[in-house]
Amino acid sequence: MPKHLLAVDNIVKEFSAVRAVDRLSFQVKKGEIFALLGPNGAGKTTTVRMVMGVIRPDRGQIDYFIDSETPIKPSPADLGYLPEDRGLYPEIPILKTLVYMGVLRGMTRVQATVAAKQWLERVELGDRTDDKLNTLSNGNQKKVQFIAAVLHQPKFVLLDEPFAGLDPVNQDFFIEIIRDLRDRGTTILLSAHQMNLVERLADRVLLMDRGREVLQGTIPEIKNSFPIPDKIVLGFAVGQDISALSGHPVVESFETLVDGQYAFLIKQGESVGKFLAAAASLDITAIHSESVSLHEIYVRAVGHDRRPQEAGRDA
Amino acid sequence: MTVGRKRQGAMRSGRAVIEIAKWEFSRWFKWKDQIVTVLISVAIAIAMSGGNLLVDKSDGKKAQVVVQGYELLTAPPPADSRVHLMPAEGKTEQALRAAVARREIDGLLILHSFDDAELVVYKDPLWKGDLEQYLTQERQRQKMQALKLPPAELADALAGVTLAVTFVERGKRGTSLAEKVTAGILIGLMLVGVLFSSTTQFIAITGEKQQRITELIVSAVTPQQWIDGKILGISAFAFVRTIGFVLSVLAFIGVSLYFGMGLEIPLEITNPLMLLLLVILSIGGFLFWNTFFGAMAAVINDPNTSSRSALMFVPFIAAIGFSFKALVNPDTVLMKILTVIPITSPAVLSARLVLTEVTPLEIILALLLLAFSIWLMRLIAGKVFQLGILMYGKEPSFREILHWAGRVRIRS
Repeated sequence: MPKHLLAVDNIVKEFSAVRAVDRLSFQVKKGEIFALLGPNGAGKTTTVRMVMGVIRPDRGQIDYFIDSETPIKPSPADLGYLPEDRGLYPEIPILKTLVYMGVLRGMTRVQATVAAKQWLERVELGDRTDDKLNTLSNGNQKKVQFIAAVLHQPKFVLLDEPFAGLDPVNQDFFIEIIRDLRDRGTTILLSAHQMNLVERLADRVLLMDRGREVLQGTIPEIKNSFPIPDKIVLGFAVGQDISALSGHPVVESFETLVDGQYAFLIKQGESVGKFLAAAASLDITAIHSESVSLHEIYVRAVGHDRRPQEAGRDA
Repeated sequence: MTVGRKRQGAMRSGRAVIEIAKWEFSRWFKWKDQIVTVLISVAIAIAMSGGNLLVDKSDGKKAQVVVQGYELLTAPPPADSRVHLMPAEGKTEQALRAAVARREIDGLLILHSFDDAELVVYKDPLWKGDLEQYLTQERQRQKMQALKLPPAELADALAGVTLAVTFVERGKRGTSLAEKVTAGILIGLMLVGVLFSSTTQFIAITGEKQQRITELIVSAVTPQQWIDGKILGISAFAFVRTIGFVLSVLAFIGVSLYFGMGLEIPLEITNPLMLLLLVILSIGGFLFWNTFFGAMAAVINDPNTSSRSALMFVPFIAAIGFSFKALVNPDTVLMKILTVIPITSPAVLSARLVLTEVTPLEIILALLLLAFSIWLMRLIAGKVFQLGILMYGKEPSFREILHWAGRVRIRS
């Protein structure tokens, strides 16, 4: 039996003159969290829609291997979906809506009611089962929409931008829930542009740009395959002249941070010790190093830091 | 795929359609609305009957008219007349005119003879017709009596004439006002029911598009299942709403009958076979038009700005407009053709069933064509819905819609 649950092979999707997804291939292993990463317009949502069967690819193949050695058409009960456009019926009580969604996914009414109540308790909405969706706060609405995607305990869940519009507390809450789903055996494919959150969550990632793959693998694999300089952050006392450091031969670039702190990127292969020796002559108030983030890897990999308006071509 | 798996898939598909239908029905149907509609009808009927009673009550007193020349009259006005005549009892004409001016009496009739009479009143009386009719009959009676006819011949001479109406066209019978009203109500109910369901369908689908619910549903069920469930659920809603209207009409008639307003229900409509046919035609009409409106709603991006919002109602309004022609003459060639065309058959056939004789062949042909067109329209609606429901920001052209509709494959 294949180790992967989903195989996407060389898919292409075009809208008018725009190629939203261009020869993209990846596999999602059973029980992992696989993340599609990229800015707006990278082709993530189009990819997710094709994987979910909402739209069809112009070319390429998408195969599911749910409890099967050969490709099968998954049943609605096998799949869970949190779309980027995640509306629900605003004028209907949330429990009623969740039960309806569960029933459409193959649950009995009783099963759906029990599961919905449990989930609502878990997200601290247990006392609001009869409230209409439009009476809930934005964050709570997102919780209900998330429950609609996972209520029926699917084997495979697609979460399109699950962190969009969430405050940091709720982002952490969702990370915890998604991890828990994975630990219970659910395979998860998510798309996101918050690379710092995905870095904390995903087992494997696929970095996308303009519909194409940029990098793919586990976080360590990506970091190893795309080595970029170490970053050293130094804080100095007021009035210190750092020109000797910013122009130091081992420094590739530097960035002014807040409160008299500066981030220095050290050239690949150069000695950090030489740089620190030069810095020791100044009055240092803070020092720490940072590992390179996915965001920095992404920016370097695509060769530019795309502005939102450049990226706003999402199909 | 094995037969067992296929059957399981079909069962799940059927269950999904039923669940969607139940959801749509419960989403829109409110018991409170039904009860309020019936209560409003009863209230209107009571108000109207009460108004009539007030009018009757004022007439019930009967206009008090003093007659100078009372001795010329041989019999009082009939019991249902709104006039009560009294002799002048020696009062002068001037005094009686003054009594009319003071509104102590309603009128003064100065009767010199039946050919020379004057009525003195304060204002134009509603009961003038009753008085004229009575005086005419009194005049005729006295003239006939002057001929000294025997009582039997006199009664015979004064008896009214009843016309027996026969029609040149075979099988054609007369239509009473009640039948015409009933046929009009049936067409009206179809109009109201379809407008109810179509606007509901329209609000449901465009709302789901705008609230971005479509993608979530389409990921769980096929567009065909979704539109099938919607058509069933909203048609059921429209049918129950129409039953509610029928109950309202019946309540209205019941209250009216209680207060003696003279409304009646044609006996033909209480025939069980007729009732069954009317129910089938109503359901058929709702299903047919709901498939059409479901497909149209899916290709409307924003109902507030799209010109199609109004345009989509034109075919239905035109069909209903033609249907009302049946009330004028239900047996023209045009009406017979419209009886079997699915766009008009639910309304026209319902009306003609009440108004005239419809051959079994016409009924069978109309039902078969209606059933086939519903099935075909359902497939077309499914295809258009599938492609239109996920289109945001852009409405497909009519050419594109026709292209999608043409992609429907009819499988045996």
